[in-house]
Amino acid sequence: MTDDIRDPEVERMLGRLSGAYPDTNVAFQAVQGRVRQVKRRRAFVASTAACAMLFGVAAVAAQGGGRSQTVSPAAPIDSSVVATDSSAAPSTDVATSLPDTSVVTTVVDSSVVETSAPDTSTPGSGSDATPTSASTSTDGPTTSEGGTASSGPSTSATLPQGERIWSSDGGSVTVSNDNGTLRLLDASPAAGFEATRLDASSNRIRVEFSDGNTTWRIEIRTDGGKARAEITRHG
Amino acid sequence: MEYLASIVSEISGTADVAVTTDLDTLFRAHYGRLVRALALVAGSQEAAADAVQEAFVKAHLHWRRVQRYDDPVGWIRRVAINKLRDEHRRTGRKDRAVERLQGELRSEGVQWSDGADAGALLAELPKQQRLAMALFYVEGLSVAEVAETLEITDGAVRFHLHQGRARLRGLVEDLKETP
Repeated sequence: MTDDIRDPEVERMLGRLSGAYPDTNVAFQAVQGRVRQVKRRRAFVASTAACAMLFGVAAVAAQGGGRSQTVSPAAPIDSSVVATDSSAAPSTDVATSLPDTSVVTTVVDSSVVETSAPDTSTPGSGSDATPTSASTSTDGPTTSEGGTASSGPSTSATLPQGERIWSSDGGSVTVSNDNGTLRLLDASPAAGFEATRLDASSNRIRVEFSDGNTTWRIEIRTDGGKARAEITRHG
Repeated sequence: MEYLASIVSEISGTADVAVTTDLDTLFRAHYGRLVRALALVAGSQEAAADAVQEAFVKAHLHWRRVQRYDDPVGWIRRVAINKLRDEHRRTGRKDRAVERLQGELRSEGVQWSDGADAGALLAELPKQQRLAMALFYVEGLSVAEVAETLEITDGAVRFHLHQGRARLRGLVEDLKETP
């Protein structure tokens, strides 16, 4: 059978048809060039993917990862009344008329004091309160006014350890508490807003978010282990 | 993980020297014969050279794996043949006709002992048959190696070689009888 397929004449003819031997040196250089090209492309793709991954992680981290509690202010109003769900609190709050300024006050440690509708004044009764958390531990209500941030009898509580996010329509801040020492971890403005860090000391964090018309201010303070947060709207 | 390691070694260039040395030896030993053999199937030496170079590039990039194979050259040969097959699938009927014509034109001057145009005769053979003949007669592979490359049995290779040779000779006889 082997004799059947061995044919010197066919072999010789096909050998001539296949042409001369190519230049191996030139071909090898061409191969090396192509290898370098592929490697460059691979390195570019790998580095681009790594950058994209890093940006993705950073973006997720900037948004807080959804781990912390969020306090959202009520709708903008002209005046505000602060009410809590603490029935023990004395009636000390008054409704104030402050055009173009709405005030939202929150008290840390999961207790939330939220503004009620304008012209409503039921301080201390708790009937209009809309706490967002059941674990309220307030000593008394707090009134804050936009812009000047004046306050009535202060309500305070121990600031929980760790990180926490405070949100407003203008943006949110992430603040950590390490044994009473505050630290601003992040300030993320909402779309159209810009963040301005007014204060970032160890006992007071103050950040403003402004879109040119409206300004939201988030302020967190500690004093002797007690802390409070205020979210106010201006304009 | 292996991919990452290869990227790191590529960037640092640590693996390049060994790869180049090994592949250089393989390349110099096999490139020329492989290109000449596949030129009979591709229709031109340029197309064959492109496919074989592409195969060597792949071998270089996957050398950690390829070098562990029993027959790295066999792997390179199969990659080159597959590349040619892909090219043929991609090209349309018109391109193939042009390619065949080019192949015939390039074979101008190469004639059978009886004066017949060898290139034109070869183009009449089925591609698998041409491939088997090219690997056996030009590259000098054994029947078993051709069988492994084409993933067919030894008997099938013998059949192709026998048929191809007989058809070539038959076509020559036909030409001789034609006035």
